[in-house]
Amino acid sequence: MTQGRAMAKIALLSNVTVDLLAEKLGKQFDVYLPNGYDAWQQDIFTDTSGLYGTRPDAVVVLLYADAYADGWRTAEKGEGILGEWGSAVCALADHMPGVPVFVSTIDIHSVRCRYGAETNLDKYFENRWMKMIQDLFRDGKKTYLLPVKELVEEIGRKNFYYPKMWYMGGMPYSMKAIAALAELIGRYVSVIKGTGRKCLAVDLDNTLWGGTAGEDGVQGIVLSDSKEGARYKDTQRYLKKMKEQGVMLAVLSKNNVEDVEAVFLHPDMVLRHDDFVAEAVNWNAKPENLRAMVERLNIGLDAFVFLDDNPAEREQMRVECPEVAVLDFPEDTSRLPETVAEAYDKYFLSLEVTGEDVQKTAMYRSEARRETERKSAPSVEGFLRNLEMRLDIHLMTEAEETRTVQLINKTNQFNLTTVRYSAEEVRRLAEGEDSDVITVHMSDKYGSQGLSAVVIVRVEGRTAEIDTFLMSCRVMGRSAEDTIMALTCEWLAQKGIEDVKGSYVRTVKNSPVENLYDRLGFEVTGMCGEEGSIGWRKDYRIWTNRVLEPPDVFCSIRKFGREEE
Amino acid sequence: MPKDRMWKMTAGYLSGKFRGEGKVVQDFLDFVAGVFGVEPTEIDGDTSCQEYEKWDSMMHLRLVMEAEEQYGIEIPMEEVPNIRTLEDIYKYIEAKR
Repeated sequence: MTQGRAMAKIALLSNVTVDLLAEKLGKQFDVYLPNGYDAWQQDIFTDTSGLYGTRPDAVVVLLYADAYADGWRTAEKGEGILGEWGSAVCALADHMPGVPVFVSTIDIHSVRCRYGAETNLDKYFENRWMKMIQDLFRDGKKTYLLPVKELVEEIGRKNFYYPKMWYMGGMPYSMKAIAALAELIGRYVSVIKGTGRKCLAVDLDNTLWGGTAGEDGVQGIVLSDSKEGARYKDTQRYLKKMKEQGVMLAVLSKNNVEDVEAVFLHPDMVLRHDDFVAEAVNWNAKPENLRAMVERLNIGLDAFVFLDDNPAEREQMRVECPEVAVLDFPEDTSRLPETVAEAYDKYFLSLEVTGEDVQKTAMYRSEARRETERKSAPSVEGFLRNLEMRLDIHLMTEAEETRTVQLINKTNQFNLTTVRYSAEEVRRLAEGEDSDVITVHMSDKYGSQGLSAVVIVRVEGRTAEIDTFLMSCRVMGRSAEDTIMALTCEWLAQKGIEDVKGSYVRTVKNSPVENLYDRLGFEVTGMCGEEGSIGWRKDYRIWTNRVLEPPDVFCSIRKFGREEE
Repeated sequence: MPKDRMWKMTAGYLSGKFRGEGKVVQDFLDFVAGVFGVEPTEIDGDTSCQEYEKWDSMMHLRLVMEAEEQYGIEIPMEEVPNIRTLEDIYKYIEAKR
């Protein structure tokens, strides 16, 4: 293996020979392949198998339906195969909770001579299989669909399979298919590392519509449901769908605001102002506008992707902001919708969509309105009280698990210890007798910030230790941390806890909370490591009979199920 | 052209008359070397599945599949087990030309 960071380990399970695919994947991943042909189920049902021994970061289950061509001819047989596969996948997910399992969709294609009125069982089974995997996911297992059937459709069945290799070597796939499968698997597995981007900044003229707002006007631009204008409308439809899945959209356009406003009223505009987290419509250089957004949205330049029809603008962005991913604009604009769809797969693909993802744009937009109010408020506390903030603190519910895990694994700034936990570990902490996972929701008159803070406590006798205390950067600077800690201590005291321990562990990014416990009134009990360096640790304690007095900025607090105004 | 002459010639030794064929031969060897993951100098037309370590049963199928895709040829399934040397594959390319 190469030096530097370790390659992710994946297990590739299949009912056919996939050595060539494994070899191709070997360039990106450390690949485990079971011994023997069609041995994937044995591997799953053997506790001591190599599959479990290698402790993979992800498992890929690639199924070739026509290996059992006879099986799809009657409903009973087909259900039998799917049932068997389903229980294998279920057992696998149960055996490795927290490890994502990517299960291929299937393509049943062998029996291609049918009479007109024949029941189309193959389509039924293909859909049934998808539903089974989705049901497992709904049951809380980390099973995700790998869209292999879509790949077959895209490449074409004749190009995807290679009958000679199937009949001679049990390898159904062509080299082209193997390359495409490796790319698909690579893309899906990389998502678990969470290296995706966050915001797509788009130009307007000749990107969201044809023509220019300034010269052609709202009557003259090309944007419609059919014919030429549909390529722009379809592009907008894709963008809207991406936004609904948590991608932030921003506008970077050299234009007069009035001209653009007129076009936003066009009946065929799919995107509205509400769909964008930020809009820069002016005559400044685009890199300059983008940098201003970075500051406002609190995300890095490397979180942006840029779409613009003008090669000069793209070039300027590449040169001045090399961290930004600049999309190749298609020369043939009938390919524009597809360019945007591919950008989603490449830069924004996510496996799950949380309620917070759906609301993300609305949250950022209301943040902008808060910012305006903050600037005009006479004092910080006055501003905060004006926001009419509400806080709801309680033990984590099952429905909150995904978002909780997401926050635990991506919060860097306001994070006292920066301990990362998998979904399974969080569930164990929540269910365990000696530990609790506490979640905090916040909202105000401009909208909801959703689940925005997590506290994990471990209890031993009459002492509680704050294992984790973190808060989304969306709600930083509102004195919420004071209230959350006071409520947590109060709750612990009611449970008979006498003292609470906490610690701060230094990382590259969490200096904003370095003195949090000092400020809250905790006393320092020890230090470990070199002051100020990464990994430096400060330990604290506070007696729960000491009453913390957080600033009174919330208009409503609901604590552990009880309302309090 | 007799087998020996064709395969013993490398690009540098070619007479004008056979330059065309020689280039195709060399392209083919380069392509096969890529599949094996070795330098082109390590193989020639006589490289055979019985002697060459990298040429196992999986590689056998892969060579056929990749050559078919690369050169648009078709090696009938019945003939695949009869392939012994690289030249046996090259014959299909030559026949197509």
